[in-house]
Amino acid sequence: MCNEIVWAKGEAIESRPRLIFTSIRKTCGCQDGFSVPTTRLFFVTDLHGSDICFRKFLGGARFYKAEVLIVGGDTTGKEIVSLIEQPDGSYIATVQGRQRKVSRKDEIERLENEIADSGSYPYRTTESELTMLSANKDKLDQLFSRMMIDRLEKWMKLAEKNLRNTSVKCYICPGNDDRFEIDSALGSSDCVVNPDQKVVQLDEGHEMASLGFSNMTPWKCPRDIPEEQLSSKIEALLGQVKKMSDCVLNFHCPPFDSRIDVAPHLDEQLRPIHKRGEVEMIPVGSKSIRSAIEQYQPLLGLHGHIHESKGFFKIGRTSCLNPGSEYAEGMLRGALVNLDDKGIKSYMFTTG
Amino acid sequence: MEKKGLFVRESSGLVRNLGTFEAFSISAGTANPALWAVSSFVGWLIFVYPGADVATALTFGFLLILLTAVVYALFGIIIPRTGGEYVSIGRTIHPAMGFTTSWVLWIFIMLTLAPCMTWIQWTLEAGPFLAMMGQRLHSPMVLGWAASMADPNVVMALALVTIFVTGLVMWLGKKWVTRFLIFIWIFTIIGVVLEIYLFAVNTPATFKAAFTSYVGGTTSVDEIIKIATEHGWNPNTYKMPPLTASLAGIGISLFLFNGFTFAVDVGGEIKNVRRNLPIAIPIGLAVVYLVDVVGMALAPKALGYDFIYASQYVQSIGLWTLPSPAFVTYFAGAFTDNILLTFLLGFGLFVSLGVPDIGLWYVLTRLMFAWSFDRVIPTTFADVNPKLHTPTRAIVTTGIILAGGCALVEYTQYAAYALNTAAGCATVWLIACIAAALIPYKLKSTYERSAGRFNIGKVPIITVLAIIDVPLLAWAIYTAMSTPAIGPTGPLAIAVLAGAYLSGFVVYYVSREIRRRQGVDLDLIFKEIPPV
Repeated sequence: MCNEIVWAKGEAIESRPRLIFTSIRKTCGCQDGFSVPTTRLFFVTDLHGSDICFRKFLGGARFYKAEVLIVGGDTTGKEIVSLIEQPDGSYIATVQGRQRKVSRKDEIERLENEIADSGSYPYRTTESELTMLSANKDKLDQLFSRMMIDRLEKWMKLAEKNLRNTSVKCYICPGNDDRFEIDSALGSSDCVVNPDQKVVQLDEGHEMASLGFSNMTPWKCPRDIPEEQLSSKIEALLGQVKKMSDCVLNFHCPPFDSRIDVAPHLDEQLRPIHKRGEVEMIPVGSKSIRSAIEQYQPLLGLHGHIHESKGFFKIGRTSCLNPGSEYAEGMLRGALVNLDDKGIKSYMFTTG
Repeated sequence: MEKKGLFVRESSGLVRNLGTFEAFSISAGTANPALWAVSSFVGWLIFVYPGADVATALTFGFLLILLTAVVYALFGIIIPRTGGEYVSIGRTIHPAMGFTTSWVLWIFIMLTLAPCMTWIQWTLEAGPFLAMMGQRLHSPMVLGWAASMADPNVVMALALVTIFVTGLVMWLGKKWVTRFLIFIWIFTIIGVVLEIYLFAVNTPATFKAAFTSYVGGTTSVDEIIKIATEHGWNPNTYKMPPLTASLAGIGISLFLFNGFTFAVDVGGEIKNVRRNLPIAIPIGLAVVYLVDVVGMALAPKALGYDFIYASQYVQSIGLWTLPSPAFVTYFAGAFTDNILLTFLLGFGLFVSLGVPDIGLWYVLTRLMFAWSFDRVIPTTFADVNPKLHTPTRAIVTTGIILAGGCALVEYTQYAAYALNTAAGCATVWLIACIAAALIPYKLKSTYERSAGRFNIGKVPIITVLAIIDVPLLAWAIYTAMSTPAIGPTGPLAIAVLAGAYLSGFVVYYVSREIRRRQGVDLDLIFKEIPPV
């Protein structure tokens, strides 16, 4: 007995009833020469708090007929957008450089949803609290943590509502930008697994090893660690893998010098360095991760971290993917990967 | 705190790296470089529409194409993604249409690059440069080289060298591309400033006095006009009323700026798109226009309108005997007897096409990359050389196809009978405009969240502008397909354009079927996932 999607002749994903070739979920293996027993992964990364992207991610299970959903890290947002209460009861907020004034309850909620969809945290406040938060970094940090956890807890409830009573497996891993406080929120649902630093079974033939840590970045993010420590964590993690040739690595950080890790070279003030009129681009991935992939040659590497470095790169027999991220525009970038008993049957980048 | 009420935490993710200058350079640099544009356009327009005021025709063309530029800039702000029309049309209308449109663009860019690297680069640019130097140095050998620039075998051999050098620069990567472009830009700017200066301080009388000695006494301004007159040329008979002629010239002039849209192809890499795309596309276009219009307005005033017209006429009837085509930059060489200034003027013309050569090749490989990433074409074209970090297979493939294109240009008449580049590009603009008009309705949430959301009441400005632009572009396509001066107009030209679109759909749907059998559906590449 297996739990696989089987595709009828000439068909892949389309499920509109008017089409002759529709996908059917069966509980047994191949029945004709065209059927392919496959496990389909839908991998996304770097949602950075975007509500709409997370709701699309959950929708991806049904839309793409995916059996395994994976978030590859960096789940939390970067900004708090204050809705400042005015004496007349209205609120003023600066969104994308434009000042917006809202008064009615539905207007306020719509603006808050818009802010949440872009990955930021809307926060109703007053002028006096705003002044206090501007002056008190600790209070601001606490507020950030609280809002991150609230958003993730909301997401976990949403995942439960949509995934309970389905066979879809959902893995949400933290990334280097995510604070450690959020781990409790990621573990608050039995429909979602936080796979960080664990090896989990994706299907009968494939394991997945996950790691949210990254090599050091100029921003010194919560899960940035030196390469030596990263290497130790990788060794400890990969020691748990039973069959490396069928293993999927869900490592937030891409391998060094892999074309999916290209970012601007920054100076000490975090400004891009220009050379001959152009921004200098350099590989910023992890050397430890590259070295581990070269040594162990797993089946697949799923990576994120560098939003604009969407791409595909092979290191030996290992295929490494980074679907990139467009969270701020509410676009969900992802990678669909079909795994079968021979390895990666096919993959496709999506923008939905 | 950056702005009132906005708190930003320390986090990674600074990824957009192209600033104002880079975005501007991509669009403005790929639009017609000034020396080439001035040289080719002035004589062309005066010959086709005698009586037309070159600056007026160019201004009308610029104002019309500016509308398309604004629509493109807004489109790029709403969907700031690398891949240009492929992504934006694919998301708004359908992936098949997005692919096909970019496929057509790829074909026409390729078919434009081939003439650029053959007869335009060598016959029309190297020819005048060598002729200018030969005349100043009184060197029969250099003049002989100039004359050989009309020999197809010589041009083909030089085109292969051009492909090799340009491909090598692309192969060596971004640093070499930048060095190459800076080198070209420096000489192009020196050349255009010099040309504008020489036109500004001279008159037809000084030109007439200098020309005979410039060409070694082989002819004169009066002689050229006399030859033209003896063979049926009469400026007073042929000239149309100036405004009528200028308006008729709009059709040609609006295609002069082809390339202004290319910043959208790297939209995903541009910082602050709300500011930088308008600077790159409409303002970049305006800067190109201003440089061109100054040169074009001054050229007839310095050389004499009738002389330019007569020289084009003599050339058209095959009686032109000078070692260079009748180009205004070649004539500008008469205004100086300084060898260094002559070199800078001629070399500026010779290298000015290097910017679009690199820019067009860059766009070709980017499009192949985007298709390859999405697996519409084999993923091998997205392979990157691990040492050089360049897409070597895409570059080599482009070079090989380009060499074939160059042979077609030099040894066949396909460019004359089949290739209407202006019409091809205008169809792409038209489809992009239709997609732009639809975007607020088809991708409502994307539009609502974007920095490009500008409404008049409840009506999106992009929709209004695009709707106004669609009939204008339809007229531009009609003009391009019915005006022999712009490009071939016969059934073969129409068939080539239709065939390009048809082949795009065929490639997409064959690829989709192959991928379906592998378990993925290309139709879903850009399809928005319904959120739960």
